[in-house]
Amino acid sequence: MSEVMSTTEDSPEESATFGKTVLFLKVFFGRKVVLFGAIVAFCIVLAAIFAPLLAPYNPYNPDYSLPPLQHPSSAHLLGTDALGRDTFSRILYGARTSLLVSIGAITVASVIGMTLGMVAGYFGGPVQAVIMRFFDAIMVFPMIVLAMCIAALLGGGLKNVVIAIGIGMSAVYARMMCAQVLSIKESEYVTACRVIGAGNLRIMFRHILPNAFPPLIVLMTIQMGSAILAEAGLSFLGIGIEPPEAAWGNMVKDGYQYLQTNPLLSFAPGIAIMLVVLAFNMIGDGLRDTLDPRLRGKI
Amino acid sequence: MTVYTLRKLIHTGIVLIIVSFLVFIAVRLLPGDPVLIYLNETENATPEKIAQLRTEFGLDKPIPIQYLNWVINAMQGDFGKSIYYDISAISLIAEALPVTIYLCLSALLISAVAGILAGLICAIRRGTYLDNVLTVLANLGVTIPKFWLGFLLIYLFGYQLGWLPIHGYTHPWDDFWMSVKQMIMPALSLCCFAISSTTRITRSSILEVVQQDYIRTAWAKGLAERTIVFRHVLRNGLITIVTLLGVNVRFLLGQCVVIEIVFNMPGLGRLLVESIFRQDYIALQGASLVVGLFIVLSNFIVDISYGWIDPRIRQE
Repeated sequence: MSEVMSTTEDSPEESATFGKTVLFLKVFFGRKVVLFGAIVAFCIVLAAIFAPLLAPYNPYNPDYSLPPLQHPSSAHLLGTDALGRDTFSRILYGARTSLLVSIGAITVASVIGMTLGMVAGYFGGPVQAVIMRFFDAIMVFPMIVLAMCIAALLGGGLKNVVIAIGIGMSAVYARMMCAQVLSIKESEYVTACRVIGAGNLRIMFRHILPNAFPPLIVLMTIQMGSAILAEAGLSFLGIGIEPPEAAWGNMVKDGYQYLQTNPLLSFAPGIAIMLVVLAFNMIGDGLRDTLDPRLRGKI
Repeated sequence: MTVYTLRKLIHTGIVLIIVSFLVFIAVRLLPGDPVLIYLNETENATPEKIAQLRTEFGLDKPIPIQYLNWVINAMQGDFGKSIYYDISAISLIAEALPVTIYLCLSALLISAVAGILAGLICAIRRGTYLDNVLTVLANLGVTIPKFWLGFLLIYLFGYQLGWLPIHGYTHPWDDFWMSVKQMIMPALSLCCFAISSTTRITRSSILEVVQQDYIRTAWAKGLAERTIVFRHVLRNGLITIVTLLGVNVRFLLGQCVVIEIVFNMPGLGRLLVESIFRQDYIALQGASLVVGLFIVLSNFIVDISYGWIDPRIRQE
């Protein structure tokens, strides 16, 4: 505490960044929609982390004391599925799967896309042509078709779904990074770096990357939602997360057979998907408007 | 414009070559030996038979030769024989393609008309009740999982109200009304995302145009609102909207996969999924190449219309 006090008092530079952060947070959370999104996302992250504590039942153990396909009651908040497993507990555990997949996929996508995009933009010429044409070709395939083929190649399961969605999404990052670097590398401070003898790697990662980053952060937040949707789609097709692992896409699909009698089995996980994606979209939109309003309509 | 078109044509050609190579290599890397899968169906696997089939499928040659053979044959409309069905892959694709085109075109049309209109209304009546409602709907629309929306519609219109058939597909030339009825729910669930994103993008791109000086001038010189909106605003907001339509084609073709499974329609998407499960890699190759072709073509059309809409792009 005393350290914080002294830094804010002693160095004007530190207090300026502190003031900026406060201003940023004020503008960011000033919009009710963003605040709502942040709260929902926060709750879902908490639910995912503390799922074992919050879930009233084990999501994989059937409850044999009652017949399966229970309707909602005080014992089972959202009823039970065909195997007698508690739907509410499965949704809580499904949040874990969804968040893990989306964070993992975004990491894979941004590492691949940003590195190659940076190399392409920095070196230009034939390097750029080769890398970007490759990503153009990847972009041709719809994300789900691409992820489907990669998932078929690697097999199902959490890790492979993450890789499949990550590769599927990487092209957008590469394009955006390349465009950013192309404009930034012309600036005077980059020339200055080169004059004092900085190496290519140093210029790329220490000097260009921090300046190219803001729009990419916005892209990452907005794509969290898309990654969750993609995972749900793959799980629905039966190429994604394998049962009995609780995943929202699987749950919607399993519930389909009982749509007429127990519509909630399908509806509840779908609403969960919608809520998470909505929350991340709101945060992403807010981040974009606060960081760089010019990006509006582009991301 | 000619130079611009030629340049785009060359670019499209290069991308097409990479796309075909990716399809070929990716599918070849899939697990499972196609010959053994084929023989499993007929159940008489002698080593001679395996060797003979390898030659018949052309699998005994080096990969680059296989690729060249495949491309040359594909250009003549021969994708090889489906391993699972024992008929040519092109006839499978030809059977499935009209279903997907019908579905995607209806969704694209609905999304373009409804999305642009909604976005335009939002931007022009910014801040009103109508704008708020439409914006919230558009924000919700991009978050709904497509297959789940399909189930929701099936539950409502199929089971509860009993108005529409819950799945299946009929060609419009066989039974027009049945075909329209069966197409309503798939088209709606498919275009929900596209309508929403079109609305959002149109709204923000139009809002940007509305603030320009020349729009104020147009108001000042007393033009009618309709003239300003359609002649000045919409035209300058078009470039973003056209980009989005191009993106939508890719997106719709991708989501078709899920929708065709939900509504059990015999389209290209279902063919893709089934080929993956059956390890029918010849059908998979053909179907993904066709999907790629369509998207490359739509990208080319989008690029050309850029040049047509905005003369500055042509001259770059």
